[in-house]
Amino acid sequence: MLPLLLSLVLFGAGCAIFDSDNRHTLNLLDEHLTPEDAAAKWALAPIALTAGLVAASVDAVIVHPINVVGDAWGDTAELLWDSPDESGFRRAIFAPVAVIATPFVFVGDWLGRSSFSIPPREEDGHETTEDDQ
Amino acid sequence: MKRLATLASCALLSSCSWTNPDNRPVWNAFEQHLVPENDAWFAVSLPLTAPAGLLAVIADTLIVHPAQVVDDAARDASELWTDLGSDWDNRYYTGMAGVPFRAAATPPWFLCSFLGRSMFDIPSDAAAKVDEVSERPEIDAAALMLSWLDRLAAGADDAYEGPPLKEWTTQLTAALRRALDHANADGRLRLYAFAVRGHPPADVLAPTAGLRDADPVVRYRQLSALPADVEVDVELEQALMTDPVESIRLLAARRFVKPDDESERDRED
Repeated sequence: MLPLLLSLVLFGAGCAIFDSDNRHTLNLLDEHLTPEDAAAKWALAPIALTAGLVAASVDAVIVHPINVVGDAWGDTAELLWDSPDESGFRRAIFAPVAVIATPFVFVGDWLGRSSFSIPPREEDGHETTEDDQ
Repeated sequence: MKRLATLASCALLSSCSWTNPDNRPVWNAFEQHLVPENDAWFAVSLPLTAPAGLLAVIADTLIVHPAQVVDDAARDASELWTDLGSDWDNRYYTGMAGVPFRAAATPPWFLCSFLGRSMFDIPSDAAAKVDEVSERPEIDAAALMLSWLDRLAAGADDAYEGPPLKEWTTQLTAALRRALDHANADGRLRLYAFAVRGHPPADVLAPTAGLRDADPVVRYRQLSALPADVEVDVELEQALMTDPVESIRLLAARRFVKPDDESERDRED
């Protein structure tokens, strides 16, 4: 069961790194460390292959998940705490539920954003708050 | 029993590709050359031709058609590698990181494509590309239109019966001008009706062009058939209201003079 879950998560992570905006490390390598001439490219191919794989893994498992923490918190806060349609009284009554739900919503959102290519909140028309950053 | 069912389903699925005559060369050759056309001989040879035909079907399904689709399956698999060249130039590390995945995916992709193409009637990539490049319907439409305009210029008066055009060309404009200069009244009516339906661009032939025709009968018929939403410019309106032919003047008055204008004119009278 665990290997299945892990492979699902890894496969899901693949979805996120198919989007070039989510491949910060790989993009940095492509931009700054690409050899100019073809002979050097061929000579460096085995190293580049390994480096590319490592960079893609780092992007999928570390960089992109860290990058989406702010957006995951923004989504959670918007859903549970900052709902503009709710009155102050209703928010006060709802506060204990929000406290209990916050970790679950946050973790679920974070896992979703880490695994799949979901546009950042800013691109989606949400205002970036200080909390998001 | 289980094996039989599997074989039967495979045979059934294979028949999907077998429904296209292009995918059964052995059967086609067998039917063309070895099945007698004479009724008596056909009946006599049936005990031999029926099992041989069955063998031809099996040969097509299991050997010849699969062999035919190997190159298409290989092309499908090679598409996994097509953007590697641009990655090599622009995204070297990203491209290199993708190499193991492309390599791992190539054999299963080839196998899936080969099995799918062997079992189902999937058009060959080469044929699909030829169709795509030639854009046959559009070429046919332009050729048909050109030939219709030339026929009108030569005195014919038949309607255009071809597919709609996607793009109007300068060659068609030249042919349309020739047709307008040389077509008879019926031919010109066809052209004007064609313009009203919006086929040639308005700057090539306006929908109201027929209202300026030299023949008063053409002008009258065009005016009576002109849809209400087609705008007629003021100068042309005036020309029709003062047309030398009375029936055109009356028709123009009915179309262009609004009830308010009429009552005002009556009051003035």
